[in-house]
Amino acid sequence: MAITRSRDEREDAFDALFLAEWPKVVRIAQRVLGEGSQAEDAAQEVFLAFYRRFEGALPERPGPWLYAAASHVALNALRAERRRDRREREHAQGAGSAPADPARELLAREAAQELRTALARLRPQSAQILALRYAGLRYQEISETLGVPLDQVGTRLRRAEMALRKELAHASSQGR
Amino acid sequence: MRHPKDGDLRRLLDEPQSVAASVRRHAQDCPACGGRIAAMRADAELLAQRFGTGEPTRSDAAAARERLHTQLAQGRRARPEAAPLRRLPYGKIAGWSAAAAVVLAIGFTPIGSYAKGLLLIFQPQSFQAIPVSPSNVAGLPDLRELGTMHGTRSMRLDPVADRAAAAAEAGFPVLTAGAGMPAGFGAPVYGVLPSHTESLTLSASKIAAYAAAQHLQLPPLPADLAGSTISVTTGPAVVAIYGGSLTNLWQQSSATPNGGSPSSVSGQSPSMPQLVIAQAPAPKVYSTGATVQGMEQYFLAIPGISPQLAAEIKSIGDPTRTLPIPIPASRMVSQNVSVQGVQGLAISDASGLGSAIVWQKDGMVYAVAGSVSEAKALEVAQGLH
Repeated sequence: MAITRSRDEREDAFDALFLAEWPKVVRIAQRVLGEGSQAEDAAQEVFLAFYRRFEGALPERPGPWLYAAASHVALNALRAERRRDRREREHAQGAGSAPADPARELLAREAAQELRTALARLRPQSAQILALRYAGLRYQEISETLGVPLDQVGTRLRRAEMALRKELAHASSQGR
Repeated sequence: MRHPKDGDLRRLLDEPQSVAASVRRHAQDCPACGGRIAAMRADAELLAQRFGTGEPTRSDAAAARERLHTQLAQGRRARPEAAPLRRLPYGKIAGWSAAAAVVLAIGFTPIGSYAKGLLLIFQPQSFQAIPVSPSNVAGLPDLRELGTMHGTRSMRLDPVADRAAAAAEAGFPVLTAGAGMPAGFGAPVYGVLPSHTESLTLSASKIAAYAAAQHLQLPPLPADLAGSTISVTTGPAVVAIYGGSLTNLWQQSSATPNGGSPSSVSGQSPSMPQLVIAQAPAPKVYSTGATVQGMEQYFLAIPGISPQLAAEIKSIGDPTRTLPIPIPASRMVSQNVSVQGVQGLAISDASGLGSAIVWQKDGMVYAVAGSVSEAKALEVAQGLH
């Protein structure tokens, strides 16, 4: 059900919604894209799409739409980034352009990269539930966002965690 | 009591008060379940550490809100008519059929026109999904602003009696679903979409007039593109519809998909088709002079295509072999799949309840789409014979 208001009221309602939900939407994107500006860009894109879609009348319960969109935009950005990285690596092969970062920073970056690589290899639905849960969404919210029965959330989350652990273990055995 | 299932034990870790008291008691007393919970806790702690705990601040939110308002204001200036974006396949069509959205995106939107504009002088061998969102196509002009278009867009799906009649009218053998088809969908109804050609003749003067009217700095049209005509021929296509009618499919595909509540994304109108199988010869693109690379370079330089989208399209690689399929970034996800011995593209909507599989084999393009999981759509696709 949508709520119809005057234009000014809609703008005020949208602003209030933005301030209330923005942190959660960014958190979801951060779990997928890391804590850089990319996650904020993804959140911006989500709210822009939301604004344009619901310009006429805000939905009564916007959370599930926003959270689903946040996870999708972030996962799409992750896949696009991986394609670009792959291409750039192919171009850069033999160029010898290793960055001169301190060892600690390098390790942290490698760990983050490893997580994102593993996440991108998961089924989209698995990556999505992980992003939502590790951004702090409650099981009820995840159930509404993904449209799955509440009593299935734990099972799907556990499966997704095991799949991610497996991918991470695989990455460690291959890469390090 | 039997051992609780993994899902209940997992929730016990996060929201113990939401789990039945009997499960809590069992978990306390049962060493085996204690071991399972310990393993889950170890995984959850490790993953929480890996995912990080970044927390945006309120001042970040206020600054982001200002940025959004600026972006919206710029969008309004650059795009006085919001209609083209509203025709993006968001909303109510998403739940039942990602394929309908793909067809819409390719055939009926300015973005689709661009997709067509990019697939020049070739028959695509594979597909690549391009996530598209309103922000990265804001201000995109309609192709009609850049030249003269010929060919009718009002395509009609003609009902035919059965598969044999469809094959006779389309002129190619029509594959049918095998064992993978879910029970209860019943017999399909068939329709044929006639072959269709659409062409665009690029005009330097129209482009200049559009740029002046919109106060835009458009790149000059290269000499080899000015006056060049590009034609796209599609079809004939055969569509088999399970659990619905041709009328409903067509009305839904033609609807303006604006609005719709989150629940309607995964919901489904009772009269909507449950599954659609489409097959057609691969589109053919002809040109009187323009090259694929020249067109791609020119279109991607037009203001209104964001740098991200341009990079994404460029990342496809050889544009003469791969067809970019625009998908709404906030509502759908895609991945490559193996189908019928070739690589195809699986597209799922946000709810995971609507999916499409698209692939090409032996010069034909096939799509299976419906209110089914990606796995089920893939099973149906694999079973086509």
